[in-house]
Amino acid sequence: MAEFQELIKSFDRIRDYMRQFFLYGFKVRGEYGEKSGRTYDNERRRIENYLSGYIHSDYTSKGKQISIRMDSKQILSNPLYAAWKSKSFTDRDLLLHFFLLDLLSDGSPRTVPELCDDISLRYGKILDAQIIRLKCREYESLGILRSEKRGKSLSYQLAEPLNLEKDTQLWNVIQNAVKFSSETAPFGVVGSTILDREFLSNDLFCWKHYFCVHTLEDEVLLTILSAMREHRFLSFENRSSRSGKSVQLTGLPLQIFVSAQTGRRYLCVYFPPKRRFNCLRLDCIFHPRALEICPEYELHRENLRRNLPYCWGVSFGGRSRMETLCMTLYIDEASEGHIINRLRREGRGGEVQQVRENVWLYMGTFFDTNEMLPWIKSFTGRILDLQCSNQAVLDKVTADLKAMYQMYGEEEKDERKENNG
Amino acid sequence: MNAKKTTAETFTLFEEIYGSYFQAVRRILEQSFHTPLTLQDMYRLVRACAFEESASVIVPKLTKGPWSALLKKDGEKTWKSALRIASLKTPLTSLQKSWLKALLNDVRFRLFFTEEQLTHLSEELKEIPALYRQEDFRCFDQYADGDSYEDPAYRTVFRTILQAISSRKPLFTAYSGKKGRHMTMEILPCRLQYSQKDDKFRLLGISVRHGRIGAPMILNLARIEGCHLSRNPVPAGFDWNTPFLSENRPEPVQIRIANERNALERCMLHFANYEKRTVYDPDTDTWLCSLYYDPSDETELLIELLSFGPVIRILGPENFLKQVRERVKRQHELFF
Repeated sequence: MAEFQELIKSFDRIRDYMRQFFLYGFKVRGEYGEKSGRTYDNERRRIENYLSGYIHSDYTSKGKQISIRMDSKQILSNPLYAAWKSKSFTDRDLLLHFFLLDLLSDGSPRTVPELCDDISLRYGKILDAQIIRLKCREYESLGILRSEKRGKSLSYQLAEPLNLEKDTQLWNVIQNAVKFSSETAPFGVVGSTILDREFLSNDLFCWKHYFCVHTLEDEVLLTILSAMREHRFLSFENRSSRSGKSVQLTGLPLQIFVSAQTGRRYLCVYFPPKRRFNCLRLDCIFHPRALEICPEYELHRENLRRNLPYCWGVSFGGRSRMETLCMTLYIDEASEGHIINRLRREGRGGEVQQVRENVWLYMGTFFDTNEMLPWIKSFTGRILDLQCSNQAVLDKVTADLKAMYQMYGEEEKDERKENNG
Repeated sequence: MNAKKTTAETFTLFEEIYGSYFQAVRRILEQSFHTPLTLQDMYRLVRACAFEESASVIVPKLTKGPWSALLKKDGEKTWKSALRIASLKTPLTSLQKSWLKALLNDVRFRLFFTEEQLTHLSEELKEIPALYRQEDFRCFDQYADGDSYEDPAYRTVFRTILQAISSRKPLFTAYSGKKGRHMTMEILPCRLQYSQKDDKFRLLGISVRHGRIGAPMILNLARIEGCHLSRNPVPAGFDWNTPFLSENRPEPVQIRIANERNALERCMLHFANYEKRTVYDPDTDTWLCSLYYDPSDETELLIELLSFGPVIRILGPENFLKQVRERVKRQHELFF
């Protein structure tokens, strides 16, 4: 039986498990469907190792249930970044890393044969020149080394540090800004590696409404952004989170839509055959691959820009195009001014008007008013009237309000029973 | 369509050089360059940098295994770095520089710097391609009344607070309260809290009066009219982590999630920022979820739960449920 390894070769292996442990945390061994029990045990042990301190296990009648539990207000940096820092390597990779840093720190460029000799003399290790050459090339592509032609061969030296690193005061400010941005900007894990490089961690900031799990999509996002930068089509596998079924899609990636309220991110794609924009969840996208350049990229991007004011969330609606929703609310102006502020700050461009004393109207026109339902229901207790050009939306919210009344208004006794039982 | 044939620079995030094992080994080599380390020292250093079981792999490999060329025995039970240099910091990678370059267009990142420093940064990074552009992203549900990051007065307040937190100095602040009431106070600034949803910074700290520790305070940065560092000493024994420790956390809110309209997944994602515990109930084909919350977020949690409608049922605690019932009943009276 192979020995357990903490490190992994492919990030995809850990992505799915970590997401499921983090988000749900109620599944037991047998419920991780397609994978074998052994795989589950290994992945579980790895995640327990990466996130010790955040792991909870409960025993249910169905078996041991592992979950990742954390309160985002209590954490200073994203514990899930640990997954990005778990790539496996060979013994030679590690040795060469430190040998190269040590040897090249004197500033003298060296060719591969020279490095080969120096490593053997200095550390007593005989390494194949080809292996050293490959490592030097790899490090050059990462930006750690730079090469220059010396006669017929290439010589390598460490990349020049940025001048701003020499300005201690400025570099300190940058480090503080990195402490913030490593948790708030896209690809925050990169900031975390900059802090690691300095043996620093965030001691200045804390977070509210922080959603850690979405870092797991960053590698996919990197490929998508690279395709966007080069105006290329993208081919990818889209896996339904409900059915688990996969389809292969090709489209033009235009923008990443982000929800600050759930942290969820979506890829907005233009599908030329359907002549439609669509938003697809990043966590459902796998194996993206950039294809050929689209000469009309800017045109489609401009079309998207024109459409954005009518997107409430991520939907571009069905055939009916625009839908209008009007909501009248009772707001006690003397004591509930903050509700009027809510309408203005959360209404995404909809109009807010006073109808008469303590009665306010919100009116918005969007592609898909269906997406507004959760927001409308957040005003439960003060909605006087609702009008919508999409009758189905109106019916749904009316039915929901009735169902809630049945749930809470009429069945207090049942609830008490359930709560106690 | 053909697969891309490209020589363009492609970055990867998943690289061993950023890994915890490399970090732990670097830590050992740098420390042992100055002071020989025992096995226990090494185990301790690895535990601080890497994962739960890493030390049992890394330390034997370094002391008697395939990585032992990096260390040399210094005494009977101690080891020293076999390398010539003390600092093994790698140059910033292209990915790291490219990320920093992208941040230059982030108004929140710019808050940290003076105009002069920003010019210096832009100049230094001008040849580096940005990893992404701000316009690649669209945050569609962020609140519209976020802080004014480009307001010079706000920027000054931000940087003064940051200086106070970094140097652990008390701060005098002039604050405009909710009803426009002006007040001045001395505060021990602990952390700056940021919310992406609100797009706001808040200062978490503890008030000080005549040298005595007072109550925890949360101040909206946008309402701080001015502030400066105080010369008063920090009260003895003050714990700078105080605001994080919620001693009186209320009972968790319990909800039952129906197996319809994808409610489970929506709930789990929506409340992913709360500590929670979820259990499947096979008898009713529903999930029971306990959400632990900060008392100051009670109203916010209440309206978030209401936004899910009848696919979730709030079961308790009683005081929370009472507020739900009131709102739902009032709604019925207004609407039907």
